[in-house]
Amino acid sequence: MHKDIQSGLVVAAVGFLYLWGLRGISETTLSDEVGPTGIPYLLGIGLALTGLLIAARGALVARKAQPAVAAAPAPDDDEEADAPAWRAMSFLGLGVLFIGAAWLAGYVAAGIVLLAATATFEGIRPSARLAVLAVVGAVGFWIVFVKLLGIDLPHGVLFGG
Amino acid sequence: MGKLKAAMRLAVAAAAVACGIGIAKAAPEAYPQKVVTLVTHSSPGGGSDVFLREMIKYLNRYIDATFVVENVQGGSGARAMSKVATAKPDGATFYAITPTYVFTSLMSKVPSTYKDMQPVVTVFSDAEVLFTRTDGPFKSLKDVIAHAKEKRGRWGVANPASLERQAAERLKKAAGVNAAIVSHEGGGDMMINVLNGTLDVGVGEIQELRSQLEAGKVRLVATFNSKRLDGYPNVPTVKEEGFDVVVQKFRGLAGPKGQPPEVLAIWERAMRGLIADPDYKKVYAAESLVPEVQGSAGATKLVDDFAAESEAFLKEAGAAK
Amino acid sequence: MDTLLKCLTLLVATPLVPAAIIGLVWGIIGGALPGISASVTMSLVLPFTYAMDPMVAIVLLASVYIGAEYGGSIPAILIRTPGTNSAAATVVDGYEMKRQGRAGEALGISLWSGVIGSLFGLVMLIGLTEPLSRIALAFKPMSYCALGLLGLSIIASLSGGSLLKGLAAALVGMMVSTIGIDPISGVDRFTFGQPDLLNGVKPIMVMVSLFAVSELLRQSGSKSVALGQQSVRITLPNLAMMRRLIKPQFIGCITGTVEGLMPGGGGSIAAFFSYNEAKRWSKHPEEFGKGSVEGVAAPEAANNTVASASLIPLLSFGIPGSNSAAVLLGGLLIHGLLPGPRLFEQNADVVLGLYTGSLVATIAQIAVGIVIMPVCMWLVNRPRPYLAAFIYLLVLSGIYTINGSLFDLGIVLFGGLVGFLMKAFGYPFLPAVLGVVLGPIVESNYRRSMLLSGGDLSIFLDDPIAVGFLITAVLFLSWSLWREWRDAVARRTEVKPA
Repeated sequence: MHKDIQSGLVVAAVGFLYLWGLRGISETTLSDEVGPTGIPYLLGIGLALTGLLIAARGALVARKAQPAVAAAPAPDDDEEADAPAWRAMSFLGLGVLFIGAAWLAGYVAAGIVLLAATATFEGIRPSARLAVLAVVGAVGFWIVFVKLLGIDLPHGVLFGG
Repeated sequence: MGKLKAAMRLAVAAAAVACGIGIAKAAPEAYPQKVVTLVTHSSPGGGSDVFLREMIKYLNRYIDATFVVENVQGGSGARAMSKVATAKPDGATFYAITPTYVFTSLMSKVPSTYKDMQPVVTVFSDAEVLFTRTDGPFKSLKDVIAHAKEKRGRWGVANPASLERQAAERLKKAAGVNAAIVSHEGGGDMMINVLNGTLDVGVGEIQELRSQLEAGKVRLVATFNSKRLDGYPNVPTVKEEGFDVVVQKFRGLAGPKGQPPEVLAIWERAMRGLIADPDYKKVYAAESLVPEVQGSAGATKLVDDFAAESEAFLKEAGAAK
Repeated sequence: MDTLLKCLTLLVATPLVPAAIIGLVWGIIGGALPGISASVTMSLVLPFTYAMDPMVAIVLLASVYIGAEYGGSIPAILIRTPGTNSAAATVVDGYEMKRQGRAGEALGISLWSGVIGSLFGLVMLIGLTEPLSRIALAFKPMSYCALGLLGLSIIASLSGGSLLKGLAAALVGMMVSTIGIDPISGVDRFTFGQPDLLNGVKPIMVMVSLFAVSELLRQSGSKSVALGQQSVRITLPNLAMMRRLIKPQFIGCITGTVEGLMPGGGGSIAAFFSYNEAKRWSKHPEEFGKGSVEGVAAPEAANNTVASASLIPLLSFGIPGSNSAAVLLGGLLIHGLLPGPRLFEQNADVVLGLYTGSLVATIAQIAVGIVIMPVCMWLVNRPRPYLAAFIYLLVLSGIYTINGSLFDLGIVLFGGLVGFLMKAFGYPFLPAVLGVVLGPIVESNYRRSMLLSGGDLSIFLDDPIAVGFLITAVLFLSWSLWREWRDAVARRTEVKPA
């Protein structure tokens, strides 16, 4: 139950951070009886308390039963284990790369990069086939969004967007 | 019958305007840009979007260019304002303005405000009215105020940062009454609360009330305009009823600062021609829009005066940033 | 008889059938793309209708709406990405079924339930507009607030074991919903001077983060190919299955009708609520969350019912029951049609055309579904690395289109990380999603109620609808808590002897 202590404390911290963020909200005489901070105040306190309770319960359970007590709802048996943290973070990094590339060079270029990089990261060996697929995919998405639906996608600052 | 009379009166008024500027143009004026983008923060089908799309149907008769409406949503208008404020002042990009853009500038932290744009022209003044349900206890503004004095008024407005809200707050202050001013998520939401008696009155624009007005479900109590509406000559103004509150919802265009003078002149001439156009007149008369064309100088003064007034009001309430 | 003849004439003499089918297909495409909501799909097509005959234009828009409400379920089932807000509840059991190799069955059930929902909504629209519109008028801010609380009361049964963690997730969801311009006072909250946050974080962004992005992260590098090559055939329910689905579909139809009548809801509340109720009344509640057919049927019937039911307040007083109905209102106004009681007298043909067109679109839904589904299933049967790459791009593109903002992509990636951690630490997603959807409804209507009464809570007692909702909420909550306690006791007694 060590995990519950950690996560409970993080949850409580989020609650306190939120309460601290409330100070940035201006009260006006145009406000209502409850005000823009009324409910958020309750939410913040509620979350902080809930987090502390989760942590406390975690500590309690941890002390009571050291040996294998069915911790939290165990993940279903048929589910494969989660990816390790470094993999998940790298995967997110690919998304950040996409944002940067889209800002710089526009949607199609960023899309090609994202498709090729993600597929490679997930275990496809770089090949001409992959390159073609990435280009076709990114251009295809662009056609669906921009040409068919008429929604604008990033042009990229390099091209004056 | 009232409607027909009103339409005729509008026609006469518009004809007078047309005569005032001399001749109606036969061919569209030359314009320095081929394509003109009109930006709005409203979604397709929303207020400013409909205004622009109706307008560009007829605008080619007066300006020789292709007009495109671009919906730049998000950020409560902040994105659209930034886009226009940072564009080149060459007459190719304009923003459809209403008091909302001033409110957003005053109340929220946004990168570009109304001060970063130059009003080019104002075209209409929408009618803001107070309305109540037909089978309710209120017959006139006096009833509404009397009720609010005696007990507690319940007045509705569509959005928090809106001209309607400001109108209601100022009326409350002018009358010195105790009224809850309840903002909603749009006019439809508020209309239900007016119809089911949760609210005494609502403040809204005539266009949004047309369904209910025609069905006889709501009654106009007063208008916040400076004079009575042509379409509803029996509805008094708030001022006539003894409260010195006049608000006007302007509609027009603003562009990046530093527009060439000839562009400004072309737009003013085109708008004067446009509102006299019989085809376009049909469109706006049906919505009780009051044509009030002002060129850049007049429009700038209008916006600045309005902003000063609103800022003072919001500062006093502590709501301006 | 006369009316029937008129309908037939409309079918033959006007381009109503093609309009309905084109609208439907367009709607399914838009609805299936994550981030492009039903209302956006409709507003994208709106400019094209300006030049059309008013009746054809309205039929087209209504068909887009029907298609989009259905289309949202396709990615929800196949790639764990709700295409629209109201498909979020479908993700739970739909995607689970897909993982078990039952994608064809899940899609068939969602299609069939969608058709049932549309038909039910249409019957309500045609037959009961008058009485139902009176109900729509009876909802006051107090009723909305109570409805929101009722919705929140189901968190307990959606928490999947840990009530405290469910509560924490719901509170965080509600906190996210407070970002942006305060709907009552108009001041900024938690925007940190960032204009992209003024409009708040949309529920769909939270759903896509938690369901889709976190799943991509979690599965990164996974070697398992989901059950090899799945069949790409769509399986419509057989008679026995149809009978089993009647109950959840009925629950979906009723909740969908109620939500459609209430402006501002938009489908997701009905979907969640019907999911929860279907579970409560099911003979197999233990299957829920593990690939229950009923768990797909209820929300899919509900969100399609909303599509038709939200036209009731629109047509009868020009007040749209959802964002999408608001776009339809725009379409009516642009053609000079004024909704309201007089629409039925002055433009009876448009109303009749709308009914007929919606019926055509509903029936066509089956055919279109059967044709396009195999293509979609084939697509998701590609090797996992390619699939992950394409889903990633699809999700990021879709989210970008909401506000045209790269900033939003950052939010969604961050949300994906949060989802990854929530999963790792055993926090459930559904309460968080519910919190984002219901938070604003509860908060703003509570504040409206307090404004109306001058801070007097007893105003809730004056509204019978609110009282009814609140009593139901208390009953639901105590029922869930009792069950939770009973299960906990059962677990303890099981563990002790061992």
